[in-house]
Amino acid sequence: MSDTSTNFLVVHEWAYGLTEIAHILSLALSIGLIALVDLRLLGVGPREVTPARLLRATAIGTVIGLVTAVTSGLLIASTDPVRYFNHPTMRLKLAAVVVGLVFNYALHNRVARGAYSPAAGRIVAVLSLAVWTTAVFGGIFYAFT
Amino acid sequence: MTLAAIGRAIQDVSVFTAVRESVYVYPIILSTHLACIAVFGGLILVTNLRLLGWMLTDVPVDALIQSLRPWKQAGFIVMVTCGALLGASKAEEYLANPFFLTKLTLLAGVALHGLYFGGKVYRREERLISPSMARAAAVLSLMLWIGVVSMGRWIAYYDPPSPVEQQFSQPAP
Repeated sequence: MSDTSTNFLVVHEWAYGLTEIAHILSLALSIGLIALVDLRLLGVGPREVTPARLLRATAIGTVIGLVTAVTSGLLIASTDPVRYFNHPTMRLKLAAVVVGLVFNYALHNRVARGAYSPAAGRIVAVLSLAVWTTAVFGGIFYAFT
Repeated sequence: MTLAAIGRAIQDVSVFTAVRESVYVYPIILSTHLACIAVFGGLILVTNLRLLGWMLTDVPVDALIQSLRPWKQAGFIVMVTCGALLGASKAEEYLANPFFLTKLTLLAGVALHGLYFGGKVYRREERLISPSMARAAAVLSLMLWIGVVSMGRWIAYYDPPSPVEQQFSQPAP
């Protein structure tokens, strides 16, 4: 049912390595840009720009990063789908990513556009940093537990 | 003293041995290393895209770089500390790993890049920065950091030749 012996990434080790590099670079791109908006919402980022302006400037990069990170992540998981899906740490990571994506576009960005109070901005920023950090830790701990 | 002996001496320091043999500390340090790569990478990217004139062009370059600097420095320090702990705890294996050595070389390139472009671009008043110098600095910085991250990931993909293979590759006496 889950015969992965002909999976491209299993057959070609270089492709697996390249996919992992794409995963790390794209997560740095997306989480890095989201974190920058979060820092600004916390009042410690670049003061020359409003959170709304910063969000507009980084939105495209964030989308490209998120799409690439999710795609490469699914490709990596396809090499051993049963183990990935059944692993508790990976389930935590999956949950963090799904919650993070919904949170980012349903609430985080709306607050960053200035629709709510600065206090709401700080709360959203802390939650955003927490959920994406959980995703990163979940991914690494999968390999160690 | 061979490279392997130096590596063994480093990783035998008690704190590095403790990191290597721990169940949870090692992955926690690795996760922190990666989380810092994410935040630090975003800051590096925004700095360099601004220098290329691709984003936030209405914000002065020097003001933007200056306001990002404390976060870049903090991220860099945590990232390098974690990286050094990880590397030192497996020093013998890593010093024989071509991807690790390439990563170190690229990091030396990052240092040279900082020495050369620091005063010319990153710490200069906007009106004094030459646009071509700014573009060169930005492109080089991005290439160096993408290389560092890529080589870091590929450290895990190097299989050292096994003792048996080494035995066979030696010329007959």
